[in-house]
Amino acid sequence: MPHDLLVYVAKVFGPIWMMGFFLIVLIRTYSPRRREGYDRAARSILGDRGPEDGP
Amino acid sequence: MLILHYNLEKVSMALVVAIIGVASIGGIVEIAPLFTIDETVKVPEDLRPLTPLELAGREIYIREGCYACHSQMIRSLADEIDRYGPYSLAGESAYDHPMLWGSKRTGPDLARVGGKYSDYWHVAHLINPRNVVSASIMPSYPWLLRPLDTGKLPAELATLARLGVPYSEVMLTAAASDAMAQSRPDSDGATEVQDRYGAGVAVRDFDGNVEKVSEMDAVVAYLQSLGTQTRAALQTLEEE
Amino acid sequence: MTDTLSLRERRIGFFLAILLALLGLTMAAAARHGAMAVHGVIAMAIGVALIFLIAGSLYDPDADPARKDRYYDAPTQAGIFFTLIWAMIGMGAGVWVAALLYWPEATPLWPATSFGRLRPVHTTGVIFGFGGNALIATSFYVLQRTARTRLADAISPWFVVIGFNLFCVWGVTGYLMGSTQSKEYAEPEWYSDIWLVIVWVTYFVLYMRTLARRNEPHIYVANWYYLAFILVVAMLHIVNNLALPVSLTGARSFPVWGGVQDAMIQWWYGHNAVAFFLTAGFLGMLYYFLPVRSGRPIWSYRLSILSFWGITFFYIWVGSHHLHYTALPYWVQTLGMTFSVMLLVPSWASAGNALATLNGAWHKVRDDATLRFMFVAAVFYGLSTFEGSFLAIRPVNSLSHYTDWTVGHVHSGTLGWVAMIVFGAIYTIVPHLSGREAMASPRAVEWHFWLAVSGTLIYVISMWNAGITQGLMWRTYSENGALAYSFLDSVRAMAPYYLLRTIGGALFLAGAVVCTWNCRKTMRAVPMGGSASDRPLSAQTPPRRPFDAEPAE
Repeated sequence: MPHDLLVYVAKVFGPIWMMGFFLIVLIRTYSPRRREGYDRAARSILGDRGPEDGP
Repeated sequence: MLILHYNLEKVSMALVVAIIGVASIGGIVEIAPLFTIDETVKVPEDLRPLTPLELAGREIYIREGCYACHSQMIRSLADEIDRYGPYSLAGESAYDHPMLWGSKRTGPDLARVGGKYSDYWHVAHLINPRNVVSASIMPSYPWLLRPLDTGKLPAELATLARLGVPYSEVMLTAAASDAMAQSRPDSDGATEVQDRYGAGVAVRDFDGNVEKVSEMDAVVAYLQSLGTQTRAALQTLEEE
Repeated sequence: MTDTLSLRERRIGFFLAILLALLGLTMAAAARHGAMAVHGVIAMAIGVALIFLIAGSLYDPDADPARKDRYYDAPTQAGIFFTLIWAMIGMGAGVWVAALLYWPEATPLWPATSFGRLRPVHTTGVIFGFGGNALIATSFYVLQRTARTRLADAISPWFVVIGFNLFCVWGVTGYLMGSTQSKEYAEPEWYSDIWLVIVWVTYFVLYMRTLARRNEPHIYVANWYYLAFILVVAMLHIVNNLALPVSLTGARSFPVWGGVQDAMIQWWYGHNAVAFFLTAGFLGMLYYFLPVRSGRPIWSYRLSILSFWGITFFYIWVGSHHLHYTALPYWVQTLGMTFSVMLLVPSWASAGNALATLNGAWHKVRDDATLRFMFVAAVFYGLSTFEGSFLAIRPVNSLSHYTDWTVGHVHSGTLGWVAMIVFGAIYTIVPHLSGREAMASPRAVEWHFWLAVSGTLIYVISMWNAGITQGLMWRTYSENGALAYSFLDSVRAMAPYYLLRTIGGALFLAGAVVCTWNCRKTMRAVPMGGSASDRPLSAQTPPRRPFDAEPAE
């Protein structure tokens, strides 16, 4: 693998990979279908603490 | 009995694979090319490996943790070139396993300290820095005057040779005697050290006591060798 | 300790203890002298001690089967005990070496006490000893509560806790004997590295098996961070510590990488030891303990997932910002700089998420010192990541590199963020494990809080001043074009700052001592309990299917 080919591959596929991965995560995280599941997940750890609030 | 509720470990496995995949991209892109591009792989032709005595000094430098306060990397900045000398090249530390570039300068950079001070200055300074530099905050190292253990040098040189440092067969077998000879200029082995490692090698009695070879000999030999193993940096600076 | 183990588990433990003693014996016999021999004796001593400890309980009554319905918190309690011990050792060594920089004559004339050998004792003691034990202890605690199931088995957590502490003991005692690889934060020699890989694989397998048995389908985001911590630290540790031992019966080894390749790999490891050991793991802690302590769900759960992937992806690239203007190729430095600045986005996403969670609960932050610890931790996390992103920009770095400014940045992250979140987590777990509502002495928690905050501020601000003074003095030219200051002038100018730093560190250490005393007082007072709802799901009657509507408790 000659060096300049390596650099070319890195410069072309690097940004593509970065943008692509970011979009996948964004869509997967913010899709409305999953909203309810995530909200319940956020509350899940509080459930077992019961009503006793505070320290 | 393993109660398998909602056995979704394939999700946790997917999470594991995704983490490893995502976290390895940066490393591969930044580290892999360093093994191919010539700017980092090219070793200056006149770069010589450390002699056994200098290597013993480097081992003591590592053992005492000198790298915690001293760096060996002159940056390409005007004030550093004025204060310390030509900026360090990648090739200069090609034979250094591990590299001692350092990350903190509680004390000055040592990349080109070779030849800047006399042997006697180094010996007095290492025994008690405040005798020589009153405001120094460096600890003192009086125990360096104890005899040097040259027993493990052949094995250490052999290990480095297997890692790619150009130590020839005769250098490995003569490692212990070379170490002793380098600090006894009038002994018969002295000229052989320079035949093997190059005329630039300093063959002197470093610690001021000819009879025995001490750890001080080794450390001072190493410090005096820093920056003198190749002239590549000087030539590069002159070209620019 | 062994009463929580079944007879079968005690026999396995007994067998493992014998193995450890034999390992130590072979190491000591093979090496015969030097650091490896001493480390063999240490391993043998621990093995023999464990043999006696376990042998004593081999014929006691079996652990009650009902333990299956309770979370297994004994390893967590041991982990917290070791965390506090290492806080004393690591921070004590830190304050001592800081003092040595101000009073160099105070160095006793034994080789083991000189600054160069004590500095890695401080870094390994605090990062691996204090931080590592805190991560392992809290990861067991958080994993069980978020997965609502007991740990997969009872032996491997003990193997991980004891094995990890043996690694730390080997590292620290090795440095005092002069046995080090000199690679920062990876100084332990080759056999300690191999030992840590064994312990880490056990830790990962235990974590995955427990996740596989979870009763809560969704893997709470804290576990994402803990998993990233375990996985990436394993990758970093193995690649950076590849070394060729001079002989299998000696401690000394030479790293496989050399020169500029070693520099890049060392700082790829170095900064990501900070990233995944000191950030990702502790973010997992934050994402569990802050919501639990404040009684409010995370402000935006989806933002925490976005922040997770951002941190996991961006942090890996930034290692080369430790090598600006050095012999490392220019394009690698630029990559490190660019990603360091981009890294600010996911970092502040987490910091902001934590602070927004507290929005509306400020009265709790005012009243409850433990929550205030976590709040200040989130603030300092924001501060040190902001400072880090800008220290990585080349011109700024040309001033700050090699100076004490870097030390100030490191300690704003470690004292301000890592230690504070650890203390917050400890003050939440310890009363819980002791079956009490609060720490034995809430006033001591307040005292500790203000000692910690003042210590951190004095330390960081004095190091900022020291670093910028050094940086400027090194680069100043006088009118005739010569350098205005010698290096010694800059050393002489550091004296007041090094004194202030020692005072700051001493205040922080005092706070840690107060914490240790308070925890000891709390743990000894009452036998272990735990509220009814703090049970694995399978044990709660009637068993609620996870998708039921939340019962109005």
